[in-house]
Amino acid sequence: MESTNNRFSFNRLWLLGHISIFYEWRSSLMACGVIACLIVFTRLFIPYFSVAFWFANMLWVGIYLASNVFADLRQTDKGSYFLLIPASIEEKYFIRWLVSSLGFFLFAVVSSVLAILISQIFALFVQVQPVLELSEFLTTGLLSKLALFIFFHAIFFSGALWFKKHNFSKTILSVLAVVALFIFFSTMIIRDTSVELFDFLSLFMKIQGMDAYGKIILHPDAFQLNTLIFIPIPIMLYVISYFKFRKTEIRG
Amino acid sequence: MIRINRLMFGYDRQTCFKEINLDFEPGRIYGFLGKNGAGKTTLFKLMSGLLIPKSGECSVIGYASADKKPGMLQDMFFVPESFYLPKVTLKKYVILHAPFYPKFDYPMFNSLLDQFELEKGRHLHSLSYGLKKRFLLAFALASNCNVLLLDEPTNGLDIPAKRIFRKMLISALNEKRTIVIATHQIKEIENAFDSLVIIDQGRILLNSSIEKISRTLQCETVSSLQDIQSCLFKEKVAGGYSIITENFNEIESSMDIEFLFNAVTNQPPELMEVLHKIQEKGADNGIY
Repeated sequence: MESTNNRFSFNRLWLLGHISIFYEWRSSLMACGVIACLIVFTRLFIPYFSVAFWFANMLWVGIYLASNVFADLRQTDKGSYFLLIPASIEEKYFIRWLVSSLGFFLFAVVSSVLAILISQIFALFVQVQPVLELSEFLTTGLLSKLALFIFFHAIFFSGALWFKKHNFSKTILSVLAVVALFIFFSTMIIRDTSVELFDFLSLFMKIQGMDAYGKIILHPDAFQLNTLIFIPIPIMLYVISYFKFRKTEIRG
Repeated sequence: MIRINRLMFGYDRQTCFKEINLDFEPGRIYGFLGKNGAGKTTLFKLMSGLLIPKSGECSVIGYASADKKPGMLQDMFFVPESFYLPKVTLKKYVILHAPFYPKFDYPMFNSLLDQFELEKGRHLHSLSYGLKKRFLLAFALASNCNVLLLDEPTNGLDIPAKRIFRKMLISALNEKRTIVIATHQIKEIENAFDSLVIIDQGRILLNSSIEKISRTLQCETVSSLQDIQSCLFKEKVAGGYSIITENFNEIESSMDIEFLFNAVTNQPPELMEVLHKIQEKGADNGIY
């Protein structure tokens, strides 16, 4: 009993990771594998087709999965099974966070890279036209996409713990409500409604590194602004989620 | 081993337990009995950390159960009545889960699987409820955890499996182990019990060793009640009455646990007074 590390053990984390990928993520990762295959397919026939489009789709799938990452805790049997695994609350929380955030992002990147490489190899046999280079995908822009992914992940990950059903849609509604309240109160304070509303929207898009059409632009200043604003919010949400997770009970 | 002290718990505004005290000692197999909705499963969930008490203490092998520390979870196995098993083979399940239990006994597990006639290569999701239950019970026993909480363990088991389970259970007991079994199928497993806890509407009505109960009370069937003095509880049966009387000669008598359970949950004042005395005596000696 005394020799047991009750907070953190790499061995337990490793085993939990195995269980998590084997049971919880196997089908999801297979779905993303299908997306990767679609990348290969589309790139074979449309050489200049944007890989970023498929990659972004994969990330949205990841966000949706993150919003349901604790769905098993709402089911008596599955929730009991997970909570009774002899690992600490911190390890269980961390592994779900790790697999659904960095793990998923890494998977999306690796599968996209593999898809590009495979399609390039195929292209050598199928056509003579050059296809897009891997270097166009693996740019510093990936880091800002990671930041954006983590930002949304934090929101939907905490929504997964907060809501019992329809986590994805309820989280979207909550975010919209918070944004609406923010706009309302900020305009109430400044009292110049039309100008400030416009300023807020332009600032919001600027923060995300978007141009007026919503396309992501990788401006260095925008990246710095992202870093400044996008780091504290996810951290705060993750900390709140952790304390919520600690209090999880299996009722019914 | 398991200590419950002034525990309070309720669902929303409904109070289930109001300041209950209960100890489960090592080296015993407890029969944990109660009517439907008495709070048996809720108490199991509190003991395993799946529920968090409103106030009071619930500790298992020295850990507050609500903290769900690995030190507690790796030495406590809870087999719920209804459970989930992932879609993998038996072998894969063991590979992924057994390392969490430092005392897991692989040869014992293999032997239990053989006795339960389960093949390692089979997929868990392809098994019937009864076979899944066999598997989970085998895993629980092989984990060598010092605390085993079994909620309706014989539900879904066929007759040979029940017999094997009883045999395994008795051989699995040692001086460090506490086994708590909640069941409505008392007859199937009563020979394994050496202590009884009877719960009703969130109150502990009885917590005592069967030896102590059988030295204090006796159950018998009589054709008429005419010559019976100090009958604590009676129930009409074919050909007469089943009765519980005080055992004045203090020699162990045979005990019909199902009948005792019916008597205790009816709470006749005379019987409750005697039971209260048993428990006070036990508490004075530090044992129940």
